[in-house]
Amino acid sequence: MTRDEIGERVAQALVQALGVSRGDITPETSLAGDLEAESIDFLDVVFRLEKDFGIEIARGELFPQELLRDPAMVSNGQLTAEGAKALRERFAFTDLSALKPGISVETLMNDMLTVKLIVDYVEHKLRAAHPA
Amino acid sequence: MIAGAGVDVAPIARVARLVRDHADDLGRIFTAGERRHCDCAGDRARDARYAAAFASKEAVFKALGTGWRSDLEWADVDTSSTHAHGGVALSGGVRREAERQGIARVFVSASITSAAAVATAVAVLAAAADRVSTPAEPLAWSAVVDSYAKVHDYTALYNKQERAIDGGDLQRINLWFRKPLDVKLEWLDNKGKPDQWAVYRQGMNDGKLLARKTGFVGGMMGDMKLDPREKKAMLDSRHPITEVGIGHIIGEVSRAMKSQGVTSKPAVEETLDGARVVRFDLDGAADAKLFGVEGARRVSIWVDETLQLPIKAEVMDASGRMLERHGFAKLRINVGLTDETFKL
Repeated sequence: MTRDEIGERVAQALVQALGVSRGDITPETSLAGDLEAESIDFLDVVFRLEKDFGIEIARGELFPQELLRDPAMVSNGQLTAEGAKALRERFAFTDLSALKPGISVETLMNDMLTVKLIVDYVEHKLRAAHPA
Repeated sequence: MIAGAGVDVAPIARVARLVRDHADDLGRIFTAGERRHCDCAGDRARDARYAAAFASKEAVFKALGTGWRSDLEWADVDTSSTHAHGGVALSGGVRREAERQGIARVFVSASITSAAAVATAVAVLAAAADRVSTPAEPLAWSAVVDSYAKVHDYTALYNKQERAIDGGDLQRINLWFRKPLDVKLEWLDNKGKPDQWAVYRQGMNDGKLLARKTGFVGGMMGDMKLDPREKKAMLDSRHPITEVGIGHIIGEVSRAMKSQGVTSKPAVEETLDGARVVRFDLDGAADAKLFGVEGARRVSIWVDETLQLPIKAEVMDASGRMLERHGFAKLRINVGLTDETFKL
């Protein structure tokens, strides 16, 4: 499956789950910040992606909350240098080079989950399941 | 002392759409008890109940300060298993997170309007929770073990489903069991007529089971003597005949309760097919192999309150899908079975 095909299927899953129009979705669109997705919407999206792509999405893989509960990773509600490094390692399938220490966790959780990150994630999962 | 509070509003129509579109995945959000409670209502009430359960879970996550974007599982909050004053049953990662914070109990209250369900949750620290009177566990598992120790023999209508066998088709089997391990199984066809038999007696028949089938093929094959674990003896089950019965279930649960990676939920009282029962739930890690079943992550056992013996066991995968279901209807104990019973 090409990256474009993955992107289109991810977009369709978002259209169906969130009731947004296809035109609202670009790679940079953030699910929480831009599309105002809530908890139930994320469940809907995850279930659709799993079915559409035949993959299993463990909760911690897209939402690294347990990592963000670690005081070494977050201090005063802000990501530490160690936290930024750990997140980049955890999300090695995508480019988080712009992620800087000091960003508030609230902002991070709202902005990090973009359409591009999901496409990167799905592509990574498919590649792991079906190595070339 | 209050450790945290949370409130959530869930639009009924939105939850209803999730329930409708993802029926196969509901076990990942709602426990079996919650689904039973919701599904037994009419359409409108059903949607509202699911919305109330969803809002309650999210309120609990907020009270714990974890938020829904955590690695915690929705089904680890069981709003159908409430203790006194509305304390919900927590299990798995949610329970561990509550314990980590010193939270002994989380209380939830939910209400429904025509459009939405709203729920509030209050997490209470251990010292304060101790002062709230709560009933003792309805039944200790050790009482079940003790009850079975007094059983010499029993009969039951054994209703069995295994997803790996014919996609989980129901098998109805008359069961006779005598300790230590004499078993007779009599399969019933769709009309309730016996069409297949198997007998195993420990220490007899060279360790083999005796089997017989009706019909042309059965007549051609005659009575068979099979090793309990050979392929032909396990066409109708992934478990050998030596693992049939409530004693094996009790043994498996007792073993699992002592295992690392297995979490026991507080036992809850409920009604099953009109009988008062106590339900025990176990959650296993990915490699726990509960009941020896690949992929099993949850086991629920329903214990008859009067007999204090299991009358149903259900094994589920991580998605809440049934892998195995073992029911023992018409259970009669110590009926005085003799050697005559265990002949083909």
